[in-house]
Amino acid sequence: MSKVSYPISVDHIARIEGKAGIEISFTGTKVDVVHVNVFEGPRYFEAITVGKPLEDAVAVYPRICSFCSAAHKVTAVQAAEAAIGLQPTEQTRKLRELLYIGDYIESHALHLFLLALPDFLGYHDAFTLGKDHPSIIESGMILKDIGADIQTLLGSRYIHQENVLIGGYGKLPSKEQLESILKRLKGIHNQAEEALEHLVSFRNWPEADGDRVHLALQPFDATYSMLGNQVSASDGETFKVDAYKVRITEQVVSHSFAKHSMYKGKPFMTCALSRLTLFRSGMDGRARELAEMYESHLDPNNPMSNNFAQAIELIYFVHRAENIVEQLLADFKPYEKRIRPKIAQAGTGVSISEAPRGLLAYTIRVDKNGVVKAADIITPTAMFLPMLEDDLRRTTEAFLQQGVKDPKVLAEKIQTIVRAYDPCVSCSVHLAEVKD
Amino acid sequence: MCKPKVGVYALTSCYGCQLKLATVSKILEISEAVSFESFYMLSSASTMAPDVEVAFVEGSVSTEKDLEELHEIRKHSKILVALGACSVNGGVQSWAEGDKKVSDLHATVYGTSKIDAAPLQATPISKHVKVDYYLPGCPPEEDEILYFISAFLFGTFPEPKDFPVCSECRMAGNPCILIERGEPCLGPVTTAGCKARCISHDVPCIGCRGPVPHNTSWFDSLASVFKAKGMSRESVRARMRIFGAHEPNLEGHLDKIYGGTK
Repeated sequence: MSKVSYPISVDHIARIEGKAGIEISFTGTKVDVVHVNVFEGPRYFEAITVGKPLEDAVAVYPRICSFCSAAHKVTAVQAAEAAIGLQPTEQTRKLRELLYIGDYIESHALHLFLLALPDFLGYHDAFTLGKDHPSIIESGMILKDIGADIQTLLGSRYIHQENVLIGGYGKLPSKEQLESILKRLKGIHNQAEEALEHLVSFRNWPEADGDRVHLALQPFDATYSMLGNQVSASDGETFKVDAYKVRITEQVVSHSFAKHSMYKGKPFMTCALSRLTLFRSGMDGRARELAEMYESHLDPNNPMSNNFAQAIELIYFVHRAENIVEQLLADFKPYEKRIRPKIAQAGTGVSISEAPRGLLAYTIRVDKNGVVKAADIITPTAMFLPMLEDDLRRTTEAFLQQGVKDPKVLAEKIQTIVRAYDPCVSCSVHLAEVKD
Repeated sequence: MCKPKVGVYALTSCYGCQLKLATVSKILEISEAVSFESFYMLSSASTMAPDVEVAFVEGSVSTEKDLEELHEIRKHSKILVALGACSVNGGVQSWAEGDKKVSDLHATVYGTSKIDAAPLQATPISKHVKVDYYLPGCPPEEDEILYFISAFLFGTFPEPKDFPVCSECRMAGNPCILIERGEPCLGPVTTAGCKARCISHDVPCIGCRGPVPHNTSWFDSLASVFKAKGMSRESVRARMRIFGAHEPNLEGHLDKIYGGTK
């Protein structure tokens, strides 16, 4: 009997950030090829910033991605500061974390309400969803707005924040502005819980269970945060941020401008679910309560659980933002000066943070004149692409065994898995090795 | 009521212009007034290049596929708007334009490994197709997006801006950080429209709205302060090229600022 191959090709996965397609081909119930093709053009950030002034380069790196430009900005600035030996003040650190939380709230709200919930509720976009369920979109917009406004207040705008500089800020917010943000945060607790509510009640997703190792950054203060200096893995290992290349390696694949990352030579996962799997005990208050209540929805081996993890984080970060603003207000120095960078010697700086989608790593090398000599950026999507391809293979095989063979139906189901990862495709294409 | 058909497309970019468009305060009202035939970031019902009255194109041409898509979009659109710095000026991915070959950039990032898709040196879309209107910014400003869309809805056309950020900065009442502190501010040579957003935050302009057209900036004597403040032609050039590497007037601008001396 001759074998017939069936290709599934999704030219363009919609409702993700950037351009990617899926290519799967199967014979019978055996899947032969699974590729997530990243069509996003290469932008060579690590190469174009070489030979440029450090401050100009730090202004350019966040342009890798709009959804997580604050994440890129904070991580790039931290790496630049590490390279030149600059220690920011405590107030600067807190303001950066607050800005970063603004990014989380905006990114998670947009992803959950506008991009993922249509899947769960059976709509092809947020506009049609909004016609039947206007309150869902309204909640998403309220959350998105506050996330955007926190970033605008601290960063000058919510995409490509220029007010975040090496050594501090151009302009600090006023006490009144911080108070107004605090008041708004306190008023959106219900909206913050709404995504979780809808996700829990419309549980209908493809099963994609499979063992996996999770990697996440150990929060600096033993609570739950995107900043820290050590990475933990669910296999029990911990390693220093500065030495991430000992554990995480990259390879070029022919089907995409995005490189593939491996942890000890194997695919791994990094995302909200990874953070929650490893550091849930650091959460407190309402988010912790809900995470425990809906523990069954937070299966570390099912990527679809990532949306639940994001919903829990949305709740947590609204509360954490309140907390940070209260701490800031208690001891606010509205005239604290930015520490101007003085570059006296060559150096290499590494910074890893948890972007909304997972680990984000920056290495920047600078010479004694403040000129960038090399840069290496690994984005979350690049890290989890091999795991995503594994999940797509597993799920497709599971569907085939259940007798679901219509490529159209399969294509729709597996796109949902891609969206659960919340990939940032335009981010994923800028991976490089540090070269002389 | 007749709803104009609108398409929103992205070539190589950070998707920030689409994100900005998707999150303008009036987006739900806009979605009532126009029919989004294509908006990949928001809708899985999107298709490639349907016939539309207005196409907004974000991103630069950085691959063969981008180029094919752009030609398709142009073929099916009555009005084509270049949306944002990548589309208008080539974007930050053009920073090395003319200085480093795309093959060298590729080798730095990917080594000798083979990749199936073909990269191109990033270029603004006007290098390849006729562009009707330009909406600059990295990302564009919300009020400009609304201005463009409402202009099309009213059957009229958006006016381009041909004056520099400097004028808006004066109106915002900011002290001049270039004159007073010697900050490398590109306000004098950058197209207006942001109301001097960054300088109002005490951050020097990096020129994200692209070089001001027609060499207009030269009439603003502030440009000469770059030289007077001891900023080298090279450092000003590096900064002006972040968003203006493809600007044909750029070297001429520099000649005027630096008196034609290299």
